[in-house]
Amino acid sequence: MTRGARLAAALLGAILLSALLAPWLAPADPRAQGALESLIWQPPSAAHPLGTDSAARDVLSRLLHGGRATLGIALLAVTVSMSLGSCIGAVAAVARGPLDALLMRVTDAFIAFPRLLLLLLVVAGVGHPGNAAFAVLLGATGWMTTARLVRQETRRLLATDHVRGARAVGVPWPRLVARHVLPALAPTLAAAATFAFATAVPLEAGLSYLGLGVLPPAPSWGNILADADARPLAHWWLVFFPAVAIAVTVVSANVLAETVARRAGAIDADRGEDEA
Amino acid sequence: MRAALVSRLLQAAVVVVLVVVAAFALIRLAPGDPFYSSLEEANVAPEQVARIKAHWGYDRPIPEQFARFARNLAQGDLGYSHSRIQSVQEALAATIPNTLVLVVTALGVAFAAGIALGAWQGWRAESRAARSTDTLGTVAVSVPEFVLAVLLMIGPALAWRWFPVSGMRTEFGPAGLAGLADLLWHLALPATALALPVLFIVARLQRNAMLGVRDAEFVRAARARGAGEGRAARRALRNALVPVLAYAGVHLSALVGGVVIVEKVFDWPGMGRLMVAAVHARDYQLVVGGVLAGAVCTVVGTMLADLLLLWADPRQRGRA
Amino acid sequence: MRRLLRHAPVLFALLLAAACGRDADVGGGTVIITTSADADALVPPLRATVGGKMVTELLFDPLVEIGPELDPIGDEGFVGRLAKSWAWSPDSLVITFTLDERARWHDGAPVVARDVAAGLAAIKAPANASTLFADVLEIDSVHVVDERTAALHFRERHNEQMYSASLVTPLPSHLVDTIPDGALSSSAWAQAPVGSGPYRFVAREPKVRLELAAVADHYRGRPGPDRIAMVVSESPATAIAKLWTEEADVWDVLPPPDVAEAAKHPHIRLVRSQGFDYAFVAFNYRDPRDTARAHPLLAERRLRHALTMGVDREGIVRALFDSLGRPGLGPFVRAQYSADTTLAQLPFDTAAASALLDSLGWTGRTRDGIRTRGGRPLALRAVVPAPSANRVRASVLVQEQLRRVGVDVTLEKLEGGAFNAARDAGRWDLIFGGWGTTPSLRGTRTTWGTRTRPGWGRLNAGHFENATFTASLDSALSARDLPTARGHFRRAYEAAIDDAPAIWLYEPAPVNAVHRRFTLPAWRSEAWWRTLPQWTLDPAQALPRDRAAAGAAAAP
Repeated sequence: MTRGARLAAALLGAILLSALLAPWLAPADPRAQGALESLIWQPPSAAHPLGTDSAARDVLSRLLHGGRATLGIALLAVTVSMSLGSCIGAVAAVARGPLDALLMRVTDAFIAFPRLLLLLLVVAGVGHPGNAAFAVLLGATGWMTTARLVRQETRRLLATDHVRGARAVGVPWPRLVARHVLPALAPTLAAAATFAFATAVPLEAGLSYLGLGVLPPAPSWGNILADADARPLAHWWLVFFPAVAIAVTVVSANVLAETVARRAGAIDADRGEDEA
Repeated sequence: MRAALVSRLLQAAVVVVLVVVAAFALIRLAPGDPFYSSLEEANVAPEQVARIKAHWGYDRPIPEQFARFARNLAQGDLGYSHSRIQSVQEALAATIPNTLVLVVTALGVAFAAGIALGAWQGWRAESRAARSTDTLGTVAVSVPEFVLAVLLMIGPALAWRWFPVSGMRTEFGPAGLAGLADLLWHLALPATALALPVLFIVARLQRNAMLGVRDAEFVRAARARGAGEGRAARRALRNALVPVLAYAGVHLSALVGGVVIVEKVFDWPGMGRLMVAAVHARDYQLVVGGVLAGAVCTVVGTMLADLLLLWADPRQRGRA
Repeated sequence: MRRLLRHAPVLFALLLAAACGRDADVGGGTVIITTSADADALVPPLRATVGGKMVTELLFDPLVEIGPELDPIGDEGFVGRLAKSWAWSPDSLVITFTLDERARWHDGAPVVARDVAAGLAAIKAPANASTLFADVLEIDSVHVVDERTAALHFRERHNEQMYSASLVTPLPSHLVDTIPDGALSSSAWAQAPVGSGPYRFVAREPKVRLELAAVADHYRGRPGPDRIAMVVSESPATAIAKLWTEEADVWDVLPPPDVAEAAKHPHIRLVRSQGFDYAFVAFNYRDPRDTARAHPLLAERRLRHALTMGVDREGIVRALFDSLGRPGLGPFVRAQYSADTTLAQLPFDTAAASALLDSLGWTGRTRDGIRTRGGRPLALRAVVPAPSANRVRASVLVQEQLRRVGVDVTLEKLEGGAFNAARDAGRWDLIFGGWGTTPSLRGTRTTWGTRTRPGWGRLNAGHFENATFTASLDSALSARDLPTARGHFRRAYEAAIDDAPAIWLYEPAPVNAVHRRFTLPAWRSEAWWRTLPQWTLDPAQALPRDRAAAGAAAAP
């Protein structure tokens, strides 16, 4: 691993760890409101190293707990999208024929429907879901590139002499997939998953900024940013710190993903990147 | 080739139908209705709202409403937008060009600059300049879209007054050529916000592809034949374009998310803002009309990109 | 000397213009209103939002208009607009209006009595679903006496008949009569209206801009500004930013931090006005799951008292508005004639609140500090409208304050339509509501009146019921003069405060921002745009768009 990749891995690990240990690391309750007159919108100070927000809450605590929400949602969303995409892609590749065509058209339909609009409609329809449900929703709208990637790679792998020979001998499909396709796909999928994670984090933040994601008073990196929306210059700490957190997470994830991708031998492979 | 085209068109139609049906059902399932959805419009009695809903047919079962929509669509009538007090056709005709101007400009700049940057980075990968722009690119891609948009608005627009704060044109501004300049001046920041992430992604892809191809056989062969650096580079580029164009096709609709945010921050009167407002206002007919238009655009765009790919890489032609 | 000669023509023109009282070179100016909410409709019967009200009042003149004193009782406080005079019948059930013969529609046709009938018909047509429908219920019909005389027939007498008449805006019957019922909103006329007001419609781009032009030969005189444009921005912040860059001239309700920012821009003048909005946290007297039954918790008055005393209203007002807002006093605003600032309020007293809760049996505690009674926690669900940034912020503050006294409040943010639907269905324990009021107090019957009376309480979704309040409100609205009315209102409000149907949260005191180059007449708090035609432009400070407007206006 290059030095850059090692640094990236360390940073990402530190961020994930801090999110996990947030309840113990945070100096204050992220929802606790200070004295309204004196503590609203205070810039960083000794008492509040990252400042306070519109309800006099400590931003550092909200950033740590918000990391839990944002990173948790991103991880769950990626898990869902990768699983769903891999299943659909593999089934399409194995089944071929009309089922393949149908699945690919469904994939195209999902791609043609703007993701933001779909999320907006669903949230309008069923109201604001909890964090887990929201993550599943994100995953369920971002599996398309993985499906295409898996389908393409599976078809390629299934066309090798190796597999054709095994098929001729009568090895059943599931065994074939498990033995020959999955292990070959694993590195590519790992890279795709890391790239997807790097996209999911700013996506969640963007959605919370638009009011779709985590609802206040629960913190997330996106809705800390949204709090500064009206006055981003005056309340710069509400923009700067979450933006840095997101940027560092994304950069580290991207660098890590590229290392994995290079390992997988697919430098110019499609990155499995979902909508930004 | 022709059979592939026809089959593609049919499949595209299926996709559009699926998308429109989904949108049609989803928006009608959301609580609320197109009338008096704003907070201030609280004063109307529910019986009156029920009457006006019945007048417009929104209390019929969804399949029946869809049949009516399909019949109207066949006659070229896309419906009426309650929230904008104009026909859906007029609403789309007013906003789609604005979004297209924004997106095409941004994509054009992003791809042109990105390909150039990436090709240079790939060709000269060892130089310090290339490596530092690479780092810059990684950071630029990692900053969330809306933070980028907000930063561009606070700095160049609000603080330094180099660009207008928002909107597409100056109110009571000039017409003609001066009007075009006014438009470009307003276009600068939103297009930049939209283009930057794409630019660096394209540059990355181009650089990687270039790296892969740089030392390939045919380039060495060209050099051996006496071709200069420039010509060798251009030959390498033509091959390295393939994955970049593939990216363009797949990620066309991905741009919509970024467009919504940029349009919101800069008050650009485009499709993104239109659709978000339409969903909030439960403007049934506008949502469906807009999704239909968007789906057709995306599908056509994807098809165009695929065809472009076929043209650029002859190896793919057999597969379709 | 040469320089003076060179400028002679301009100087001459200026002198001439000064002599005429209007600078021909610069004209009356262009006023750009910046807003974050587009007008919802361009014609009076269909408008519901404040933006719509503004535009329709510039495009259409009413029969009569309330005067600057904002006294809605009787008719002394009203000035004639399209109606130059009126006469009451002896039984006070008919008001006969004589129209100004100079009044014209923007297409040149004269304003006639049939237009008054058309105006009333448009409001009363059920298919138009007009928000004014309930306000003109007591107006039975319009009788066309002759070309220029229309008689409004009332079903009942009350002390604000003239105010109700002021809500009936005549419409051009020669254009509107042919439009079938229910097709008004989608008609071509509604999209490009022909009106009778000092400004006429020019162009519109929905959610982007609206342009109006002065009617030079208007019967009330040529309006000051030559052009008015309304420019819509996505967010208030972007809209306000246009003020600083001089891309816009007017903004209403400037938030406190922007008031401070305005001081840095010498071209902005701030105008303080009286607010006509108030916000509250209402309690649901009925069970959300079955509105026929009383609420298991909130039907208890002492619990409502305890919750009210647990909220620091002054603190919330300071946090939201700094010094530009005041705590609510009751179901009214200070600008209305019934306002009484001496009413005794429930104090902010967490100790008393806790004691009261203890006495009601809420002595147990969960691990998070929430009170329990018989094992059940004191948990309430509050509904908040997402579009109202102030109420959203207030809800977070209230939630935390109530948590400190051991009450668990869950917040549910809903979009506009969903919020209205949830409010009307009563699916909430607490609701962060707000009303925009008018000089007339009759709206109180709709918002806080009992639902047992026909036509009352349609917006009283919490089912607030109080006999003293009802009786006093009734007497107040039939009183013949202001002091009597005020006396009755005081009794009504005392009953309301004592019954605590809501925590009266805040009343914003708006600060408006206007470009300094316009000289303003006295500001009208309830509808600042009503004095727009009297704004005058200081030629020395004219901007390029003012000159362009003058050029456009001068051209034939």
